Amino acid sequence: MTASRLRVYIGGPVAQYDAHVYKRIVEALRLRGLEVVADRERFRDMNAWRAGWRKALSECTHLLLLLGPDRVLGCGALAEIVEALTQGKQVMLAQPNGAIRPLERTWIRFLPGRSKRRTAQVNFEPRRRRGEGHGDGS
Amino acid sequence: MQIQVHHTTGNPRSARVPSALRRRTVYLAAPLVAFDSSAYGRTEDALVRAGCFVIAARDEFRSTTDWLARLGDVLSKVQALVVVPGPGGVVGAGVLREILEAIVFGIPTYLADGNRFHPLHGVRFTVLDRPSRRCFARVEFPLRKRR
Repeated sequence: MTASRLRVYIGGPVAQYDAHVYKRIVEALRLRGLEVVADRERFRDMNAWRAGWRKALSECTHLLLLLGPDRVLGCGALAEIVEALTQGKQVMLAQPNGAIRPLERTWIRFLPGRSKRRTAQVNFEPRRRRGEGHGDGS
Repeated sequence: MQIQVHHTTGNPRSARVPSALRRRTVYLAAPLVAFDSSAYGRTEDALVRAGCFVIAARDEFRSTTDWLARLGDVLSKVQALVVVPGPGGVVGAGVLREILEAIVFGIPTYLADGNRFHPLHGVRFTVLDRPSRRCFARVEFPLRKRR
């Protein structure tokens, strides 16, 4: 990831996230020299988030979604992905263990029930071993 | 050579429209590149044959600006959303936005695959390499069972 202004966003139900994990990832990114716009620091409540998230995203180059243990995203996080794509931003995913990876080649499956807080689940494609084919029939 | 099953099969006469969609007001969405496809026309025909009142995105909106301004208003009036993926099953950020708005409105969403309609939770979206506004993910449908 290039050193650039980065916005950190937590996707999925808020209760799922450990504040210490969140803080640790934000601090680790800042230690790497990245400018982090953390939504928990910038927006005090949902009204402030609704009013300001698009502008905050427009000022950044990357969107980083911090995934919870079950990798579930709510409508808010998915809306941020849509907006990031529309604005031409790169989207990255941070796992609870701190590993960061791009959104590419992940699977998104919408969950039954149409809950706004538990809308879809992200799954990672297993890493290929060297010498293995693409498996896409090509 | 890659065979695009989505656009080579399907007949409005044989389409299996789920009972939950029949005689409903349906918003028919697709990426811009699929508006003139035969898959879009066939899906629209199948829904009309099933007694649906279809609001087709390709006829409803004059421009992207118009779509952005009125999408919420249109979705508030329909009872279901049906998405026709583009060539290769690819959808962009616009379709994802329509799906999210439908979830917010509590509208059931289906994806059309030839002559079948799959509920949203029955398909998988694989994010493409270098996802962009126009090409975000490929819709993967469950494999058909052999008879």
